Amino acid sequence: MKCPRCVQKIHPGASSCPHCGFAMEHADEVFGTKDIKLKKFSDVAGVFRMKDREPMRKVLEDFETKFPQLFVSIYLSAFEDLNSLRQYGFWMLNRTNYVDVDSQRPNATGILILVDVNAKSASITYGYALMPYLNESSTFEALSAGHPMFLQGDYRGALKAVIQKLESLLIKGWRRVSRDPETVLAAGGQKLKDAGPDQGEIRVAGTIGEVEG
Amino acid sequence: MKRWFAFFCAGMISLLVAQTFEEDAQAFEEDPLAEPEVDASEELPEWNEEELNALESGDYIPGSSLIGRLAREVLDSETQEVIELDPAIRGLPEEDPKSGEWSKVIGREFLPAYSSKPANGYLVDPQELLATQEFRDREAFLNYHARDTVINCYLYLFDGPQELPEGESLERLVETKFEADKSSAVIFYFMGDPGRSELVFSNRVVEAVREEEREKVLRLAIEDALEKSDPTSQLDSFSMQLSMGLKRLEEVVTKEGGSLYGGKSFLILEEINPLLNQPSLWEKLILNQALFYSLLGLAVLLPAALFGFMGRLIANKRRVYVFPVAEGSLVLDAPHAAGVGGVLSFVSATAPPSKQQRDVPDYLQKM
Repeated sequence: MKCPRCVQKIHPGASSCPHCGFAMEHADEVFGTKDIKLKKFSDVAGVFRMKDREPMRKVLEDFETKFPQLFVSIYLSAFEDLNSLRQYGFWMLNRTNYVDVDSQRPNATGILILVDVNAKSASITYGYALMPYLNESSTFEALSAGHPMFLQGDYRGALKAVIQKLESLLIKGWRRVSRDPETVLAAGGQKLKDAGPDQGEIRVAGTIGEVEG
Repeated sequence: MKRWFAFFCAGMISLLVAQTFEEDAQAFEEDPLAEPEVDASEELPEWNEEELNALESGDYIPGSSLIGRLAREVLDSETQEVIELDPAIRGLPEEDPKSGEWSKVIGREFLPAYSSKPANGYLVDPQELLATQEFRDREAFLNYHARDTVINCYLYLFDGPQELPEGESLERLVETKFEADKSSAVIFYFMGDPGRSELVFSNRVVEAVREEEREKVLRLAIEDALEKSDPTSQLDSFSMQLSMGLKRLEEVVTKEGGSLYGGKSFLILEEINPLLNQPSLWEKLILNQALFYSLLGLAVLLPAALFGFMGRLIANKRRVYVFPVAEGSLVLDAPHAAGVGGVLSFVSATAPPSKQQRDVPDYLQKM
């Protein structure tokens, strides 16, 4: 994984970036220490027409149906002076309380797609639970799937394409982890919480990505 | 003085002429449709009582006053002069009255054409009873008929009242000059009298077609011809109906299982067409049990596989993916998420996404 500020590789267990010293407290200093409340689909920039919002929510619900432990959040804004979309995404996913996401899905199971309409850039941030299955290149690949639509200003189409790509990436990760869960989870700095026979598909109601401490 | 008198006379004359024209124009304006007055001398003569009595008694010959005057004078004269015709008029040959016997005769020079099969074409008209264009039309029609049907139609044209010479007959012509193993219909047609037409078929047709069917062909053709009054139109109708009748004969023969085989492929019957006797694809399939059951299995399996594939697609779409429950340690002291993914810029439409990846550190960023 990489540091959101210096974009240098860091160890999955590092409490701060060994290169630049970045930690959560630095992000809090910039963006605030208080939690914010948001819906999982927030179009602050106002680029979605009213009739397009409901289909977009439907896409998010379909994702949650397919992956009952995960959720996707979308935040579109027209930032005036935001130089680091990466850091803002990191801070946002840690500090946001999603009011329309059930408690079975903590933020550690979430994927945040952040779009800066002014700067014409988009980023993806994901929780601890998804670290074994996603990385910087795969998320960039997912964003690239929506690139043509982003260019045309078709945000609905672009975000739908990005989510579809994320789904396929997660399905691949699910296959990998089904075959060799320990190795795959270890690559993401995690380990199986319960190595009993009920793991995998059977534990539908289970929560993944729980963190210690 | 004379000069002045001449001027005066000319002026008076022109005045009179102008006055006359003016009166005429005035009269025309008053009644443009009025007929001009008829002169009494131009009126037709009328019978008076004496002339009428003389005419009734026979003493008066109408017109004798004009052209018969000379004859009357000659007759009334005591000289008994004989009227002689002009030698130029006397020298003119007298026209022989047309006799019925003469029109029935066919010129000797034409007989060879009537007693042989035509070398080219199907129309025989040595007496040139048809005009050139009419002949061409009929000939073209018979040629077309010959291309379209098996029974060729040979048409011999005679004038309406003409009789065949002694010993000559259509039957004899067909027997001697036409091949028995070819399907032919030979007709003697009498222009203007289609009722006298004769039709004889070659042996091949006679053997294949019932007599009533053969007679029907000629009867219908004559009936059609008699509906027209003009001899040429009659011939048109006759030949057309004849052609249709011959075509119908072929169909009748085919239906009844007979054969008019004369080199036309479309009338080849099943017995003589090896291709028709070959088993169809379905029959071959039934006979070959291994192939049949293989294809039957495929016919069942393919849709089943297709349905299975579609079912799998639908199931995959509705499939739920649940990940194993895992635990790990905090990264960068973040409570929920430390997964920093890619950042894509979509500023340039020409540069690919990989060139628009924002992977720069934020050391110098404004915080």
